[in-house]
Amino acid sequence: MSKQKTVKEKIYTKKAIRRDFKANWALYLMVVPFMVLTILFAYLPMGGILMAFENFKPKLGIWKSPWVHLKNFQDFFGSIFAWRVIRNTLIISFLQLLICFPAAIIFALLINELKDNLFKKSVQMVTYMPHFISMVVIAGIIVDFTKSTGVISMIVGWFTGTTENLLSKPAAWRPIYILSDLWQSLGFSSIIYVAALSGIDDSLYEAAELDGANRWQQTLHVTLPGIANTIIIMLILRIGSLMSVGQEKTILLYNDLILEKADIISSFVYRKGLQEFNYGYSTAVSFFNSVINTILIITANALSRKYSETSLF
Amino acid sequence: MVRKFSRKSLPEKIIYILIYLFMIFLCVVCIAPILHVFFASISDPKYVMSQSGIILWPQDLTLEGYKIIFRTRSITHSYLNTLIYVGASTAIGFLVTVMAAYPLSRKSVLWRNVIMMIISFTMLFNGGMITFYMVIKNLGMYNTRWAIILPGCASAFNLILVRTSMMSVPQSLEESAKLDGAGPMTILFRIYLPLVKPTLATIILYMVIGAWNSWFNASIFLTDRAKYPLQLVLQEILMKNDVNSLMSQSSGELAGLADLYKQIVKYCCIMVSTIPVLVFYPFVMKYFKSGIMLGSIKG
Amino acid sequence: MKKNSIKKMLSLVIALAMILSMLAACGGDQKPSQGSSSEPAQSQSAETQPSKKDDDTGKDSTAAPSSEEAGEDFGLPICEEKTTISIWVPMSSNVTNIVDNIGDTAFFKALEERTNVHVEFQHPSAGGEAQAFNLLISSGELPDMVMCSASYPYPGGFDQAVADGYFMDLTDLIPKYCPNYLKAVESYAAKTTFEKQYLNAIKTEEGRYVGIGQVFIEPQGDFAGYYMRKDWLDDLGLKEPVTYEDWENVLTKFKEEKGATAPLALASTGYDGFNDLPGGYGVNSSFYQIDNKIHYGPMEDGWKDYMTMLNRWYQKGLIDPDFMSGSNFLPDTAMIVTGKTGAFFTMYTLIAMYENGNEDPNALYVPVTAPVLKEGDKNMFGLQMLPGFGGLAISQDSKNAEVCLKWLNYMYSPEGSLFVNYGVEGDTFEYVDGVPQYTEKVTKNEKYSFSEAMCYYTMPSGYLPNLQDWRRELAAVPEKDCANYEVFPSNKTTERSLPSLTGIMNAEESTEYAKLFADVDTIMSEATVGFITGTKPLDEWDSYVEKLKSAGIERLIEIGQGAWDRFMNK
Repeated sequence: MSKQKTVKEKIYTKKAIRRDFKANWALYLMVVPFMVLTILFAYLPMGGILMAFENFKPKLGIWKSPWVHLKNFQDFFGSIFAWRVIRNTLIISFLQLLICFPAAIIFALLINELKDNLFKKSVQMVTYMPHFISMVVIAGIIVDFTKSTGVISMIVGWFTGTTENLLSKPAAWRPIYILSDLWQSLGFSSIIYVAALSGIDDSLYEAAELDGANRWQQTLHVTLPGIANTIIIMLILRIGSLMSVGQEKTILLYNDLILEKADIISSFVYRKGLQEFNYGYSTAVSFFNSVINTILIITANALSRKYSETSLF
Repeated sequence: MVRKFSRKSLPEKIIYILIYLFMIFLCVVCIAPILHVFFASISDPKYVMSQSGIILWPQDLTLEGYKIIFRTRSITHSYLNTLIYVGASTAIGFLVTVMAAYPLSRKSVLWRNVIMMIISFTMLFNGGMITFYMVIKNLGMYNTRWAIILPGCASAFNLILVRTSMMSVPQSLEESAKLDGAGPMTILFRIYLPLVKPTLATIILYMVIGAWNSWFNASIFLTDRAKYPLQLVLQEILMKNDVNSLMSQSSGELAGLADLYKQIVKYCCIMVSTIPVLVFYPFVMKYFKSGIMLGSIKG
Repeated sequence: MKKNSIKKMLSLVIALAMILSMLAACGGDQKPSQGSSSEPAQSQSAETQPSKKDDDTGKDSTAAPSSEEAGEDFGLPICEEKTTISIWVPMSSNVTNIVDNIGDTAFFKALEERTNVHVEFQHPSAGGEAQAFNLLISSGELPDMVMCSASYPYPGGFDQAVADGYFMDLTDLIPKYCPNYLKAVESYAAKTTFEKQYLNAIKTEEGRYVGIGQVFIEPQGDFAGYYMRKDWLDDLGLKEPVTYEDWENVLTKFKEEKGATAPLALASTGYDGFNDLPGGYGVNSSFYQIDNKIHYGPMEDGWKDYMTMLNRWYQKGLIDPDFMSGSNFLPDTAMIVTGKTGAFFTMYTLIAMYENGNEDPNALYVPVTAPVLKEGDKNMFGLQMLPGFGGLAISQDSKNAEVCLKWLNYMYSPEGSLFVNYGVEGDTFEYVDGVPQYTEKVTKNEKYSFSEAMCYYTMPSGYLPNLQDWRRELAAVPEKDCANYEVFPSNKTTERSLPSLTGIMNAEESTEYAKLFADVDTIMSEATVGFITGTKPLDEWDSYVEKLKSAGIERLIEIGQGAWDRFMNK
């Protein structure tokens, strides 16, 4: 793949296109259903992006609404909260990348080490369970466990000496957020790696063992390379969503005391939308997010293509 | 594949024991809140309210919470709806995804990267809800089941997963099949799919669970309550905190007590919506068995 | 309703309360209106003593509308040929168990028979109303009528909606086709102490009629306020507290001698929906007026004093240590019935539930007056029940405006109103001493709870606009729980009250207001809870005021002043 990039200009010649179509028309036909769905449900609605530059009036429609250029963006960056929410978003996002992302991989590797099938299955089953609980309920459980008499507050209290409502401590917000993320998604996000691990050829392990590699060396030289593709793809995708942290959990959990740490772009926009019914504004913010994400994902993809032969596109 | 435990060296044994212990710890951490939810769902509401820690055993067993939920007019109906949505969107989604993934994983296909880029782009940009809503309306899908089934079918993420795993299937296999005169669909279903079973199991799991858990599209596209999926009905119960409407006692005084049941009804909702998926899970799990696929063809 | 600290404006909070009360309570149905109706912020001045169940003063004392309130009728049926109209309105949660569509209830079927108008109801999913309303508007295709509410307001208000081409200006049509509505409005306004404000607020800033809201036959009194554990007070030999000092004393005793871990269950905002707690300091949590000059409460010295006091209470453990992650309106039932709290803000219809469901069989709750600085002082924020944004609006594209209005007119007629509130005589109600009372078919139905039966056989309270008799909800409230109507207003005046400012602004003003207010409100909310818990020391008061100013509080006051001046001169 990496070679192909350098000769890109020469690839799409008329002749090549004709030959490709002749040889592969049936293959292209197979992509059509997916593309039709993508165009209908993803590309057609993209006209909505224009709203970012408009004072959108539904009755006038997207094409006739007054054009306001960059005013929506100015409003966002002009708000005294803009930098705060961008900063909070990035911090949460990086913490997720640094903690939750590798944790899922490590967890998958550990699962892979288990040999007792029943135990392995039970562990997987049990750790996937939290994923199925709706966020509303998770939030309810978190509030319950972190109030001044809650279990978690009590455990923290053993170390700090005072039991208090953790959701009222700005410093506790990020740990609560990340740990509950971890709890909820550790098992489930490891599925993909478990699947990749099961695709590794057994004979590779046997060969390594014959060479005298111990378990740790096998992990390093057989297992990790075996799932490297998956890891890299997941990493690229993860980097491409650094600017997006969903608002649901934040909105369900935050309160005025921790707003300073908890408020993120999506919750801010959600609040604005509720109060102002302002489509242009929220589209502008999500457009800004998308642009940053795109730059990130393209960079990550290019770097990966250069150094690892694996890439998204 | 892995050596017998008895043949391992001492440090290795210790590490294994540690891994097991760690796993057990994780399981406890994951399951404790869920057991708490389960026990709370069958306990006396007053006990649940006065309890601040984890409930380790149910107290004053009652099934009132479940009775309240199943008294909801639409709940049994919505189970059926959800099954339809899950079944249809998984089937359609699976088909279109594997059909697209195969050509896009072939190096001989000239436009594969361009198409991939077009598809990946949708993960980054979206036009927002309003235009999405208007497209659904203009397609005549408003208040129909299609509005719930179709939009989630073409997931770029799932496509990327399948395509990535298909890329590691050796080109030679395809070519020998071609020489035997097999068409692309045959190659896909006879050769490729069996080779990427673990990934297929993954995306099926993602699709099923995604469809099972989804309620947002239903909440904006369905006006007919008879078409509501389970999660939307549960969402209404959870968000509104409104149990009064679920109570059917004839005495006004008892209806007042409904408030007390709010909490355990929430817990019951979790159980009602979680258990079916957990039952489904083991069926998928068997495809995660290690090393059966690639090994067998190479050898 | 977990915590969202999304503070909305007062009317919103109250609207929420309406919904909650409707959901939670004994009667199930009460309150001037739920969120979806036009009068989310109704309240009552001290002078208009509310009617108790058997209040016999005044010519309108019978619950049934008297003929003097009657307007003219167009006769039934409303149209010769069956006409179908469509209405977008959230489902009434009390009947979701019985029917899929509100049109399938016995009441609406009977209404159709009487009027010969078939109504096709379109319901959004519960909890998704705001979203659905936004999408309805943005799709541009409206049904004949749309139920608007303060919890999902049209930006810029009704005037803007008319200008944008959505809703019909009904100024000329209402006198023609819906005269009963105007009569009901006038008659109600005359019974209040704020007649002028009320009549003004019924119209939009630019003098139009757009949304038609529910109107009460009789004003309702203060339906919510602070309650305390009477049995504890008696045990401890204490009287109901009057001043802040008394309160502090009572709360301390509750904590020390009754083991209450959260003696005062404070709302997550740090104040309450009616500003009962800060009111004694002469400030509220939003805008108010002194001699027609607009002030913003949370930047006044009174607020600082209030913060100082709450901070002290918090340090002493008199306030629920988890208050900030609780609800912003009603307290957690669990805390009440388990005796963790002894003082809290709630609604009178819920008291029976707290007592019946209590762990302590002797638990008894009494309403207490809002605290003041010294005995004899008044709380100056008695709310005036003025209609805010909301009501049933007719689409500009509708071809059935005349039928719609006549249909509504029926529900404001004496006959229609009786039917809407009580159903059919001999079936769902009977006259007892000249007052309509529900029969057992409603109060003790075999299949349905009282609130379900009420919503199945009559119009759910605060649902579609009608001439509403709120007293019907008393069928589910023990008589002793009506003491609130005397206690709460006893130390309140409406001297500094303001109607919802957004309601009297023109489209341009309210757009600017909404933009600025969001930030100001965020700063205020953060600081308030911070001051109370001490994470933000009170030394930072000045910098907090500066921050409010840089977010545009002065401009907001200016906008509000302009709107208020215009309103007063109208």
